[in-house]
Amino acid sequence: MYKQIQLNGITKTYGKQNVKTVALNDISIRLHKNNLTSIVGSSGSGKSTLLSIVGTLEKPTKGTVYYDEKNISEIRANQLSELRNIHIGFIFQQFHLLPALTAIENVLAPLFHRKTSYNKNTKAKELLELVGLSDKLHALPSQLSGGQQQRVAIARALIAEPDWILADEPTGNLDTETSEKIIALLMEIKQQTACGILLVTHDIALSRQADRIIEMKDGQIIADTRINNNLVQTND
Amino acid sequence: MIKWIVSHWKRDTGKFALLVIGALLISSGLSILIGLSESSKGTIVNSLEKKWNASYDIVVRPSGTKSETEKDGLIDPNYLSGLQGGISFDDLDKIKEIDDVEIAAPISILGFSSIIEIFGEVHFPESGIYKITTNYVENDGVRDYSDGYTAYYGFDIGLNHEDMDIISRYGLFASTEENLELHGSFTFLVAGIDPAEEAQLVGLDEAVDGSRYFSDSDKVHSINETSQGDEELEELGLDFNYKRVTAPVIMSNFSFVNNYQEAILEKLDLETDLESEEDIKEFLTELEQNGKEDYLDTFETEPVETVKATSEELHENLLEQSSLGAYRDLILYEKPSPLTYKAVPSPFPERWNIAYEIVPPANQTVNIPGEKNGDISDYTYYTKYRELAFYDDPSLSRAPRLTPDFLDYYDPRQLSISSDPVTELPMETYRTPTAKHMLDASNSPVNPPKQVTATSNPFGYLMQSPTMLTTMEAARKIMGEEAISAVRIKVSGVNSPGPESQSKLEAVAQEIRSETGLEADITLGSSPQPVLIKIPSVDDLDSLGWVEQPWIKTGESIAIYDEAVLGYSGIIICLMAVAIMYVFTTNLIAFLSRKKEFAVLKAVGWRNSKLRHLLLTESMLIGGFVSFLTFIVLLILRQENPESLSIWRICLIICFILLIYFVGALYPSYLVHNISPHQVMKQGEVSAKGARFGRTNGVVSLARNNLISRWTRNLVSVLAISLPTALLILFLFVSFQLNGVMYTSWLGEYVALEIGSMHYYAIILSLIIAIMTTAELIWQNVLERTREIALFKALGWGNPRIYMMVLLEGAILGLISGIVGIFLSIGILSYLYGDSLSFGQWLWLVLINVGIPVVVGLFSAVFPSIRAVNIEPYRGLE
Repeated sequence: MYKQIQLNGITKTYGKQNVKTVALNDISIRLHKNNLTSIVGSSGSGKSTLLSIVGTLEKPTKGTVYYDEKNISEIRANQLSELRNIHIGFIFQQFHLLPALTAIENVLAPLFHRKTSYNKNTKAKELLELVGLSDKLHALPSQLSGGQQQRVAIARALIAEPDWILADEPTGNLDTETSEKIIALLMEIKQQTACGILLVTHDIALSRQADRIIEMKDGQIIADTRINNNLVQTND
Repeated sequence: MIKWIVSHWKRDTGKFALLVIGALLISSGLSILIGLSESSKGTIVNSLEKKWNASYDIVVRPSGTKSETEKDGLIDPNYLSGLQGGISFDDLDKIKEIDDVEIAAPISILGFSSIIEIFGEVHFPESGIYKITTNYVENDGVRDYSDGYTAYYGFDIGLNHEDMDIISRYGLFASTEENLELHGSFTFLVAGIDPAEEAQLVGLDEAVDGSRYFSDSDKVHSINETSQGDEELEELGLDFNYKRVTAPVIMSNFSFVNNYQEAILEKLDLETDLESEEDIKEFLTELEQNGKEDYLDTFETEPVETVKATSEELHENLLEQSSLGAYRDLILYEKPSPLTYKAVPSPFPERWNIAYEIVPPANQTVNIPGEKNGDISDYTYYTKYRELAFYDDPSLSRAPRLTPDFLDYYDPRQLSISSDPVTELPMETYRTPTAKHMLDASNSPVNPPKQVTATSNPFGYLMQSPTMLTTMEAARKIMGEEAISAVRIKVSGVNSPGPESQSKLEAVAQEIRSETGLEADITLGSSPQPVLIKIPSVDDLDSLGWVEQPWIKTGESIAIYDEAVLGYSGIIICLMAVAIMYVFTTNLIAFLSRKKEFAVLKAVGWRNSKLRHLLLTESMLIGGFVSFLTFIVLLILRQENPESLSIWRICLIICFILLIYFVGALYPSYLVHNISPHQVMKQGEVSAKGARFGRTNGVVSLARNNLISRWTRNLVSVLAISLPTALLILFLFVSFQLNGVMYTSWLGEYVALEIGSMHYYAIILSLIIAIMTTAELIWQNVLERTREIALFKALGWGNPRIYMMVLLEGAILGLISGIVGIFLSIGILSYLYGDSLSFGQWLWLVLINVGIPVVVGLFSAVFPSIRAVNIEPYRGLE
């Protein structure tokens, strides 16, 4: 159970020396599990890169990432996989469901070959029920609409009971109505599972529903706003 | 895990179908080829055993009897009949003592004997003067050789036939009998054999007509008959001194000589009817004064009767008269004598790459001590292609005599020797070699070619086989201690040609050489090879032109065996390499097409090891499927030929297939490490990254740059295409261009025809797999460029241009493969054959090496190009 994720002086560059692109420029930030944090910014501002680094999908060029007291820059790829598998659930803009697997199989994919204290199948069914797809357990991704696919992806993100959910533009490919439903679902999940949510979006309206909004531009944080003061405050 | 993989396949049936097709191709290809190569090896060995197997494994000859032609590994099929002894009985004993020598059958070519045979009779119808023209005619297939005489007979004209002066006074014989027996002279070959060994070697005891074969009770006597010291005989002026050997004989009931004997009886049309004594007296006086025969020759004649005896009748008479004991005094006169050859340029090298010319000894004269020296062309030998050789001298007074004790006939056709009429191996003592008259003296083809047979001429260019066989004991008495011409050896435990037999025979032959100092040659697994031989002009006779004769190419089956094994190993290795490449490619492509999927799995926390495990299991499942199919096919093939395909071997093949699939999955599962889970965050760009080579300004350069940007995977298809192409070249060259072992001898030709086609099937299979490999790669390339192609279409590219681009990609891949293939095949060919390629061969090599791969590449690109054309333009806008 990791309560907070801390980024210290994170810089991320792409490409070789002569055509170097700086995606993140010396970012330091502390994220808390109790918050629904949204990261906003125009495209190319570095928000997705930030999410990748938080979610250990990528390593920073410079700087360190701490999960509580653990410096994850020092741990090996296999342990990182383990960490992602147990503690982090991902939701992607393009859903990234495995096309050959049914809804329930997609949900179970992260737990494949892993022992759990609970019944995986029951859990998967519960989760699909939670996202409102109890009648689509055995449908293939191609038989589902965009919104339904994203719900499956959300259920997949939750299957391992993670501490954190990292969502990269989860509504980017969806219409407004569906988007709202997805966000509502995420809020509901937040309530039920008490996991931290990090939401990358360029939709300001959506971001307003978060507890904390981090605004980015050109690889730097230009604003960090806390919206709802009912929840426990965290100081950077 | 397996459930996962299977459900994966179930939901992507198209891809699965492709997998199955590939798996089927590989399994059926491998199993059928391996099965075939096994049974083909069986075919070779079988045909060697049944059709080309000499009855002996090793032949031992006196040292120094090797002909020039043996440098080329070629032996005159008739060589045994030309050997006049030289091996001692001590040597024979030494040979018999060598381990593994099962049969050591000596043969002694004793030489030729002539007999006078009654071949028919004529009847004088009334008194008068008659002319009898007797003609003995032999035909070798090219021309007649006749030997005849004319004689005049006075029948019932009051002359006393016992008065020997008549013939010298009047030039005619007198006859009082109505019937006149006709006599002809025949020459045949006599050989000594060891009855027991010969029975074992060729079953001679089984081939005798009745039941009387040689036995231990048969006695051989030898006495010297001489005029020396006998005053009475010396006073009569007789001078003789010879050995007379009485020995048991058997005789061949079959004549290989094509001859006939003819006699024409004519009555002279005289002015007088010779009715009164005065008339007769007057005529005889006239005859005596006017030149006897020459005078008789001037008269017209009237035909009375013609008598003719055919080869069969003549031979039958000979046997009948022999069995009745008609011949007590066979003079062994001519000794066997070898032919000398020299290599000459072949008039048609494409057809016969080896040609020889017989070298007849020049100006042969005979030297009789104490008598005149002179040319002996007057002697009855038609043509002297060989060096003349006689027992002592041509005066017969010292030539040994054989008194035959006739036992039985034998039928040379019933001997247990190879007797396939189409492919006869002429290396047998008992079969007269044949030849075909192919070209006349001016090198023009003889059409149709004529069969050439031996004549009874002891010094002719083809030698008859022995007609009379006697024992080695008799041969020893006649010729002395070194009577043995050759020893034919059968080695125990050697049944079929092959590397093991070969090494065993080598060892035995080597031991014979070192023990006795004789020549020992391995004949097992020899093959007839057509050789062109020029029959030169000799004496007064013009050159006959050229005959084609099947000669013995020693060690041929071993060479062919090796060649075949090499060929099959090459084929199997090539097919396996192509199979490995195919498996590798399909695994790589499966990996590439699922890269994003793997990224997602990594993002949700799958470990690398788990993904590796997945890829390996997937590959091994297909491998298992392929092995299962292969196993079934091989089991079915095994039913037909259980010996050649051992279970052990099948298991080895199965293990190999599993290994291919395991190795094939290794590289993709290594690549799993390189997948960054971060890739799932990327919003698919049109082209991620790419190497470039020159500017892109047209379809050609676009295709070229597409290939270069994915050079690693394209390298795989280049190898997959170039390898079978290079091998195809190799086989084409071996078979046709370089006149390799296969096509120079009849055995090679047979083997090439029987099983050579399998080589090509295998190559075609390899090429099909290469097409599949390349097609999959190009397919994947197209798939990855879906958006790019859609964009091109959106920008207004027509379908022909899209077709063009993808097909060009295939063609360029093929071209590169071709260039790689050229280097590959040049490497292999120059390793095998040195720098002996001609310009024409180079041209072929380049043409084939470029042509086939380009075609393969184009074929591979057909389906991907159709797919590319079917991409809807809107896909690029998604």
